[in-house]
Amino acid sequence: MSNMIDALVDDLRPVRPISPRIALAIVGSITVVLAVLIAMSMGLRSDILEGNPQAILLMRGGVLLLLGSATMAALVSAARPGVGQQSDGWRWALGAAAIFPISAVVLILAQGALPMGILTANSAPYCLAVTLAGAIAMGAPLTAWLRRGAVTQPERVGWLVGFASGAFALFAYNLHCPSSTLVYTGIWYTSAVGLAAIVGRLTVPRLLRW
Amino acid sequence: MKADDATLRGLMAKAQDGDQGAYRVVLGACQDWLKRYYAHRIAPNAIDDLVQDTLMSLHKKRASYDPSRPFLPWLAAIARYRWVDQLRKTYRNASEELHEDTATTQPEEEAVMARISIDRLMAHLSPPQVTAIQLVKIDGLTISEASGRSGQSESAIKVNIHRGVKKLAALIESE
Repeated sequence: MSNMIDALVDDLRPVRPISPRIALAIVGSITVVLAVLIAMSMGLRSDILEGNPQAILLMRGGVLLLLGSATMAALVSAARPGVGQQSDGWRWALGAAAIFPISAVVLILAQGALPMGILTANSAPYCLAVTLAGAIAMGAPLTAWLRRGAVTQPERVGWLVGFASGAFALFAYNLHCPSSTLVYTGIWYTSAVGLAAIVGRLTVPRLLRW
Repeated sequence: MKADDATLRGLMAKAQDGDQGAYRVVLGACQDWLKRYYAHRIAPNAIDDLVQDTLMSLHKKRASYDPSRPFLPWLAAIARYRWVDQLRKTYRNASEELHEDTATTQPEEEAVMARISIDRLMAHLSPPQVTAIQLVKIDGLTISEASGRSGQSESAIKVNIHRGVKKLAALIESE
């Protein structure tokens, strides 16, 4: 055993402790770039351009920022583990975000008919594609950063990477999203973030094995 | 060597800067701590290998230690991750024993140890699962001996070990 300690000591090189700021900078900068690209290529919502944003835009944006921030906080904490460390705030944020799909289901049941116009909306594929592409663009460098850390719960962190990158990418898309209905948000926003989370869960853990 | 958390924290910060002397002291203290930690959790003949694996992990992941935080919870998290890995291998190979030693822990480690004690984890399992794991994995009985002793069928013993160990691993990871 002492031989091994000698070998590890000989192999010692200075290391800089991993910095959460880098992870936050990755997500922040890619969100800004994505928002600018969306504004330039797809355009901003008219209510933003008029300086009179609708309530749904603010609510969606707020919930997505809350979800993204809470999952990022848990993710950063998971990269620097410690027994007894609690970081479950993201579950509450996820619960808060569930207000959209739950409300959508209640409204659909109350109306007694499937909202075919919303289910076949032309903007829905863009919502999914932009969110997924943005989430991958954010999730890849985030995963590279996490690999320097000591992630002891890879599956949980896979979900967190998906939720965080999906929420921030969708926040950027929200600036363009032409829809202002709660049912649309409940169906398509939930699907977009859920899809990003599933991709994160399926891909990230295998990249984080020690 | 037995060092307190504040000392280890300072030494590890120096080790991250490349101080080999400090690092040697940290590794020595970690080795002792890990031997005591694993003595409660795996078969005695597997302890040295697991301690070595964990020291290797600690070395590779030393950048993940934040010097502004306590050291022992970080070490315990890495040790636990390695233990879960070992638990999975045990479950897969069904060749090693989940071993419990009731030796007394050092006072300053009790807070960390208590969080991950096998007894507390076992409380989350169903009584048949606890019995099956206790008889086969801890007491070392064969499946048929455990079946005769517990009154469970042999296939029920196997299923209860399978589900119990799987649940234990999930519980450890979720803490």
